[in-house]
Amino acid sequence: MIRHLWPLLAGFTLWALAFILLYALQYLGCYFGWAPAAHRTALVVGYVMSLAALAGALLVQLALLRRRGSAATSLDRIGIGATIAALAATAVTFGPTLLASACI
Amino acid sequence: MSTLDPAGPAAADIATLWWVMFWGALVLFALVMALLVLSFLRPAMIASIRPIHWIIGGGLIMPVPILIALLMAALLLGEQLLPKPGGVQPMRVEAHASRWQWQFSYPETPGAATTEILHLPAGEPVDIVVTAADVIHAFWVPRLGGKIDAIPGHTNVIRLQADEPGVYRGICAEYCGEGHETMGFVVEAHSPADYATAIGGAQ
Repeated sequence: MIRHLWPLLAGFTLWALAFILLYALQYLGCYFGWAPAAHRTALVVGYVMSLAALAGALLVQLALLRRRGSAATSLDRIGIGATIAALAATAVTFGPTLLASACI
Repeated sequence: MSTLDPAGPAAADIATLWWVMFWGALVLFALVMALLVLSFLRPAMIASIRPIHWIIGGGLIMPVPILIALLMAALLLGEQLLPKPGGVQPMRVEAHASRWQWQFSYPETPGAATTEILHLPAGEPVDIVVTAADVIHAFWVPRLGGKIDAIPGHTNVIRLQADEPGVYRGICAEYCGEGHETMGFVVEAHSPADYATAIGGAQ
């Protein structure tokens, strides 16, 4: 079942992993008292890695769609839409990690 | 106790955000109702709109700018509420929660402590250092600012300011057991001279 659904699940699974990664980085930096510049750098790197992972997933899905040609299913096309939505959601919802206060 | 009757800058920011969301929601509600009415009065006009246009217009073009605007407003207003380090640090007061009462102490006045009455100087920010002894509670004075959790083993800080002397009610805003509903307190904001007297009496 998952084998067929992965195009739909890939994008928002990566979004969820990015959420855990960025939340963990924020918490650990505050807990261990990282220097603000180092903490911000870690968050920015985590944010960029999250975007890169989603962009990579999107490229893989597009390549598979092209390779399958007429054999591509509607699930493949919907999956690409879901990954684009996940990429946009990652850019917007995690964007505040670039600027917002991390620790108080 | 109304959050829509703010008595300090933090509560005013929160009330502003609420009003922004309220008017935004009202506009959207009016738009949806107008479309509903049109579907009865001018069904041909509604039927002429293709499904893809409903999806793109109603699912992307309309909500995305609104959600981004709300996110920006919440972030900008939220940043103003944070007790950031640096600059002149305000006075600190400790609020310690236990089932089912609040105890307040005043580090700048050793020995001063109160139960269920929090004395604050009016017209200046104060950092409330919130801790808990047993279970999770939450400190909330609706007319002065937002809620903050009181968590055992963890210290949270919320910056509040009462613009004018007065009495403001506070509550525990996190269910904490059978005595939860009785776990209220009162904030008494004093003018500077009266504050010294009130704290002196609490020693």
